[in-house]
Amino acid sequence: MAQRKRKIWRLVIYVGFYSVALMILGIILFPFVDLFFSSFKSLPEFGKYPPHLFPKRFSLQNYEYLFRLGSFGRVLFNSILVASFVTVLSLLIGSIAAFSIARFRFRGQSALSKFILFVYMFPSVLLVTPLFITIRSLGLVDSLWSLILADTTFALPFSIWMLVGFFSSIPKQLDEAARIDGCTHGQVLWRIIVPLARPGIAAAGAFSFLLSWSEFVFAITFIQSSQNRTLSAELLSLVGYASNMRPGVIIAGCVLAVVPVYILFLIIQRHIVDGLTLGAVKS
Amino acid sequence: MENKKFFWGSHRYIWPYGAMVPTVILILTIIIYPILNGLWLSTTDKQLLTHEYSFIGLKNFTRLFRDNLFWVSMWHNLIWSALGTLGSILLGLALALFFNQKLKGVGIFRALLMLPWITPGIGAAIIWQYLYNDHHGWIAFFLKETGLSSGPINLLGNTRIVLYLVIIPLVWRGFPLAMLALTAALKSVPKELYEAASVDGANTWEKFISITVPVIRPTLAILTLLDIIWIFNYFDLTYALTQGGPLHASELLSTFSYKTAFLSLEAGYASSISTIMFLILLILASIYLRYVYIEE
Repeated sequence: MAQRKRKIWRLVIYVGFYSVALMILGIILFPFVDLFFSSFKSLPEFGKYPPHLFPKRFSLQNYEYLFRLGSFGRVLFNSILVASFVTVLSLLIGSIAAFSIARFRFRGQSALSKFILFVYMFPSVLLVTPLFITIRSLGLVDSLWSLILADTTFALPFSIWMLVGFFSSIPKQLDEAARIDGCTHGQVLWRIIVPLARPGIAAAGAFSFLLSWSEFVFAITFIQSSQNRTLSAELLSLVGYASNMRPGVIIAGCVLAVVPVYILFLIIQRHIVDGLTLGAVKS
Repeated sequence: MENKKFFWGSHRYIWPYGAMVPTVILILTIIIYPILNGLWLSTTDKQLLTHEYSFIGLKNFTRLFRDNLFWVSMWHNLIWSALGTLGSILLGLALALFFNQKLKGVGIFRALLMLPWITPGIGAAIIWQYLYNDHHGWIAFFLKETGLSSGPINLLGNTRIVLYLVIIPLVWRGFPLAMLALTAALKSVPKELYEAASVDGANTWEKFISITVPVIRPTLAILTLLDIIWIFNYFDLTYALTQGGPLHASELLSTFSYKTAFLSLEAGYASSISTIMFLILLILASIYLRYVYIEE
């Protein structure tokens, strides 16, 4: 009898918990769900009152229009290009630096680490004016390299912090053994640490990709011609240009900007979360 | 003293220092040099597109302190940072506590709740602009159906509430990080403490105050400080959603500074705004670093 009662209680708690959880999820993700379905609405369905969540007929005309309107394909390509470069560079530079911090003790190490931590907090908007002038004197205005350089630098500090966390969790005895077998430090990093820290490296890489993909201030400032634009700048210009004429087109563009990062995040979120808690919170 | 002897002489040091060189070069050219240059520019009459300019001392700052828009933006920044931080952390804490259960699927819920945080700023701006739309936005619909408004309502055009309307998406994007950090902190609370407290007859609230809060307090403190720093300088959401308008009603120091540099093209004057923001950031950051240092 008592056992049955307890079972019923448990069921009630389960049902209660999951329904509240789903409600919270629904409210917080509603804006995105609404956006997603709206991107399939045809023009007459916008501006209808009362609003409805699902399109009456799924239509791809917003996406079609988006690509016909001009250079959206090019813009997507630019964003993928820049983000990939940033990812590779920040992993390359970051893992060497992280290896140094995780495995060596040297003078100025803690000052250097703190310096990197400080840079990590530095907001790009404070920098954008003088950095624009620097970029101009490097001759990189309107070049995708300006974004690659700036985004890599902003992605680096945090990548390094994540990587240091992951590298430190690999037992030191492994590299000592490899050293005795005649490996150089570089070989230890490349053959021992990197393969073992693969999930961590994937997380740091995803983080760099996300950062570059979402970067806004530099993207709208350094690039001037529409053919070199990346997503943020293109979407901003669409907001100014078409928000009242063709809301569906901007929404389709927004979905295309957001879905890839959501998928990327959900695939390796566990590792990103580990990296975040290793790096940012406990630091 | 072995260190000193081998400091330059031995290849032992080539690796650790050499490994930091690319990082340091990038940080110096992309961050440190521009910071210093920005500080210098704030004492000049530099225009963005012309090359000649001259030193004018603190004139930019005296002009800034007499500029009404500066004080308006500063006031907005205070409200913005305070409400944004408070909202993110309270919502994050509430959800971290709620999802702190050993039940199936909790991990998936948490992961999905992180999505607002990774939404690009421009994406969040478009999403919320759509929700706030006068005619067919869900929020206008909700306000009308509940009788709070009588017709189409131009939410983002209302100077009295627009600042708060931008804070809502700010919190929407900000709470997941707080939730994540606090979830990690909650996991570090020793379970025996709760059991011992239960034996002593403590209720849930008493357990929360006397066990949970002390354990998560350091995380809360760091989070608050980091959130204040980040939110204080937040740019993309506001710029894309309202560009600081209408009539500067949602103007922040960041949008004010950006527009001064890239629309009015007054790079020197814009740099003086950034310099003030930089000083505020420096104070907050030094508190943060000291705090983190003690933690270690």
